[in-house]
Amino acid sequence: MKMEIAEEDGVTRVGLVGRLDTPGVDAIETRLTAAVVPRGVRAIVDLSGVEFIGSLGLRMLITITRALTRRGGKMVLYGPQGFVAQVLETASLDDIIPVRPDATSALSAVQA
Amino acid sequence: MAEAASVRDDLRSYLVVLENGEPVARHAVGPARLTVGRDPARDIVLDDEKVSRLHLQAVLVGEEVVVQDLGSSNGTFMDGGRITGPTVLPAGHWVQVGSRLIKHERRSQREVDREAELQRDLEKARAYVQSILPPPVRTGDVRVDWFHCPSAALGGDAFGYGPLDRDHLVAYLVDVSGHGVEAAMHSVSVLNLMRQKALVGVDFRQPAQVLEGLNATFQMEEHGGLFFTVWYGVYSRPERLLRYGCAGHHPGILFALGSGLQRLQTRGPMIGAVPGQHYRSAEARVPPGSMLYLFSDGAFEITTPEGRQLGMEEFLPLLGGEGAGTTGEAEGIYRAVRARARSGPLADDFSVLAISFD
Repeated sequence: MKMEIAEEDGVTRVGLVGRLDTPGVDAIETRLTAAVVPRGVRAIVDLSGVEFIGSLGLRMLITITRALTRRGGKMVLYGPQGFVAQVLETASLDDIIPVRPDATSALSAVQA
Repeated sequence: MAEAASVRDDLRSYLVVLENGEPVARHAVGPARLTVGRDPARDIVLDDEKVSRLHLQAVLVGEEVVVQDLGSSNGTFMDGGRITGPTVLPAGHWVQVGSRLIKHERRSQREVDREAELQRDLEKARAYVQSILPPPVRTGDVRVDWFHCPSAALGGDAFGYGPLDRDHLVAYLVDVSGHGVEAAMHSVSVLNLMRQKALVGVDFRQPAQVLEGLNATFQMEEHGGLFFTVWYGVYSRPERLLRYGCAGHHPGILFALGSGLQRLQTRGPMIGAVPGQHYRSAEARVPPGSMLYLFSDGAFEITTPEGRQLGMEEFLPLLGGEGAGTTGEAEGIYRAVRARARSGPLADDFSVLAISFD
């Protein structure tokens, strides 16, 4: 599981590549949480390079979103492909965390 | 100091066989040689076609474990290199033999005993979880066959079914995020609540009410950050109607004569994720001879030996075929899934319920 975090125009951009299964979540959860939650940032998360997401991956995204919302921040996901898009749809994740097709629409959603 | 010394003296060397990182067997190493291979006559038997019948030996020399490949076809690897001749395997290191790792651990008898006790406790917990799953139903107008296999000793899948009253039958499947002890404890508490029908003011014949009641009871902040998905359905005999609702769960699959395959799903997030969430129900007609399948995502989220990710579409052809409605159908589905997956335990808990209607 690879993760890149960058700041641009007041928005934290997170890029994830790999499998968000149990080892994948273990590898990034602490770092991702520390990077976005304490400062209550606005963050967009690129999921286009994620090939698998399990229940622990969903749990990580939901937990971070809920913590972020309490601190006045916001997180928007974008670009899920194939299998991951299907899992997010099944979980109705869009009811909890906004999911957008691409970076441009994610940016406008997070700044809204 | 005296105690520390005695604990140290008590340390022994063990070879631990790891499958997918999980210990599956432990053998003490002594001065007499310990053999490893595919042949059942070996001290450590590895059922793996990449392992030779007599592959490797290990022996204790002083305090060191010395391993030696015995001319195996596929070799023995340590730190990425193939070993030749007698080689010291330091404590905490491992060799790779076929798809398995064999690790050298220095442990005291007390630690080994404690681990064995923990294993026994896990076994008891597993038996308890199994005991609260209802037995298959072989007779009557609605019959249920199921197969359940947690990926570790304990899993986060649970399910139940049974009569609500003379006219109504209920069936549900719960999948708690993650697996292992934490998930199993949560699934047991959910299942017990469902079995007792202990949701205040909820009509258990109404799926949306049940999902909202569960969501009010199991908010993730109050339950260790755990959430779960659920498929919940109620069959009305006089109406031949199935009312159902989903919380973050994939569809149940209904094969009704004349209608082919129907995906029974309503949209709604998993239980515990959104306070005050409203859920929906929907209905499906259940003509005589229908089959309903409920399953956890571990049944279809499968990785092939080539590393390809399979999904629901590859799983659906296994349902509603020739074995539909027969005893052992659910286990047959498990075997078909297993045959497509890479070796080792499945990555997630596996549950399938096959429900047939007269």
